[in-house]
Order: sequence, then structure tokens, then C-alpha cells
Amino acid sequence: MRLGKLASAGLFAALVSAPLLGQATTKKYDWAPINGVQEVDVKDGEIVVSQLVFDQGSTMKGTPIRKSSADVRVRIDNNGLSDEQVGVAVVVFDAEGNVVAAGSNGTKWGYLNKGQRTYYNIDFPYVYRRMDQAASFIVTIETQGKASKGAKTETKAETNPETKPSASASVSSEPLSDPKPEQP
Amino acid sequence: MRRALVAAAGLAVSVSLAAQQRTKTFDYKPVDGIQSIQLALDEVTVDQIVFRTAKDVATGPRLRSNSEAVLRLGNASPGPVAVGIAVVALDEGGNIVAAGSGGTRAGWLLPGGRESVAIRFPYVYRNLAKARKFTLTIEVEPKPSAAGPAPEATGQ
Repeated sequence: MRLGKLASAGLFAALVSAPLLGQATTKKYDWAPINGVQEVDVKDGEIVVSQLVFDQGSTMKGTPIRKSSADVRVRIDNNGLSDEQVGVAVVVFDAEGNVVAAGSNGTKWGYLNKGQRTYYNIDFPYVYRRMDQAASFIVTIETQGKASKGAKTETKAETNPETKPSASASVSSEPLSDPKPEQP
Repeated sequence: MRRALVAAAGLAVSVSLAAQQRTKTFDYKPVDGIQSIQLALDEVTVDQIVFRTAKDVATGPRLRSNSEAVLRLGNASPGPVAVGIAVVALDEGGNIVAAGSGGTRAGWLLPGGRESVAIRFPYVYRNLAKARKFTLTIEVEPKPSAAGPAPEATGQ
């Protein structure tokens, strides 16, 4: 009898905590922005990244400053029923697998409330000089539900099958492997 | 004829001074956070990376991790350079668990110079302990010869 109660309590706890686990989802796209804007569809649960706006920026010519103003503006929607912490990473590659831009941004304070939309700017201040050679990029969303602090995290990755990099690209460096497809 | 020669010389200079990149992927095997690596481009080298995974991620409403990677780079080339370094750490499933860039903020890294570059991972950090490999790209921009004297570099 006591064992049954314990099992029920454990099951209840598992059900409650399941949607609160931290997760990550990754998708890869060909580089095809129009006027810097590229529509994407990266979902982690009900958190959705739907648009990236790339800006190749500039540097302060004639000054000792070497930083660039290049960045990407990421649009994020929380379509779920609970508040979430969100982190987004974007890495841009050239055809040879070199990183031409990389960075992350995310929730700085509190949570992205349910139903809310926000924008994060990811800066590319130090590696930017060959961004005009961009050929593909990957986006990872990392989420953590409210009250799941310290919870075990789960990760999953999915690849957009339509946007795999071309096999003919010459790789002079050790390339990054594609994200593994999502398990059914 | 003279104009053509000048244009050709200008093109040659601009090509030789264009930023170059090299990329290498490593297994994630730090010992006490420290991992020796070898990545070099035009005698600009990265030979060590130190991963610092924040044990105390900011608590309360303010969310920002202190996790970072600190890279040691040196310039053994004969000229001053500006250097950018990107780090992308991935888990087994190919998810980014940390990503960022660092490098020369101002001035140039002088010949024989060495500096540490800190790359912070403030917002995507929760799965850093699951990293399986990391990719480093080094980007080197030689100083144009027509510029004035090179001030000392200030890295991040």
C-alpha cells in the first residue's frame, strides 16, 4: 500500500517536472538572407525562433578600434503556457567549415513570459572579417522552464533536410558534423 | 600602363593583407578545465584553452552565466596583426552548448607578443558539461603597411 503511494507520488512528480526540463534544439540552414532577413523555423517545445536579421556591420576605420558592429537580430516567440528562460546561439560558417561569425544571447532578467515575443541581438564583434563568405548557419535554442532549476537537462537536435551544405564544398579544416536527426 | 601597374600592385597588397582563417575541431577533454591545443595561422598560434564552467550561475531574476573560455595566443610572425577567435562547443547531438568570439579589441598584437583572450558564454551555457567537441577558428588580419606606428594591443 505504502509502495503504491510512493509510486503514485513519483509518477506525479515526473509528470509535473517533465515539461520543465531544460532542452536544446538545433537546426542548420543554407545562408540565403534577402536584405539581411531570413525566415527560419526553429522550435523547442513552444519556443520558436522565426526570423533572423543579419547585419554585416562595419568597423571604425582609421581608429585603433578593431571591433565590428556586425550582429544578428533574432525574433523569438513563447507560444506556450508557461514562462521560460531562453538562450539562443547562432554560428555562421563559410563553405569550407570555418566559423565566420558566432555568438549567443538570451533572457537577461526573469523569464520570457507565455505569449510574449522578444528580440535578441547577437553581436559578432571579433570574428566578422569573412562574413561575406557565409554559406550556412546553425541555430540552437536552449530553454529552461520556470521552477526547473537544477533539473536534469535533455537535448535533441534536428537538421533541416532541405538545407544541408553541398557535398562539393572543399574542406580545408576539420569540419563540424551535422546535428544528429531527431529521434522519433 | 603605369596605372595598370599601380592597380595590380594595389590588388596584390589587398589580397595579401586580407584576413585569413583556419579552423580545427578538437575533442573536449580538458583536465581541470585546461586543454593544450595547437592551432596556427601565419605564425599566430593558439596553444591553450581553459574552460571555466561557472558553478554559481547567477541566481534570482538576473540570468547570466560566468562560464567562459580563456585562450592563450601568441604572435610569432614578423608583423603586427589583429586576431579574432571563435569557439563553438557542441554536445553529442550537435547542439551548440557554448559559442562566442574574442580577440584584439584595439591596436595590434605586436611581433613576439602574447595575450589571453576571454570568450564569455553568458546566455547559452546550461549544457556546457555535455560538450563532446569544440571548434576553434582563428582569423588573422595583418596590419596594413601604410598605417602609422602600431599601438599595443588590448585584448579582452
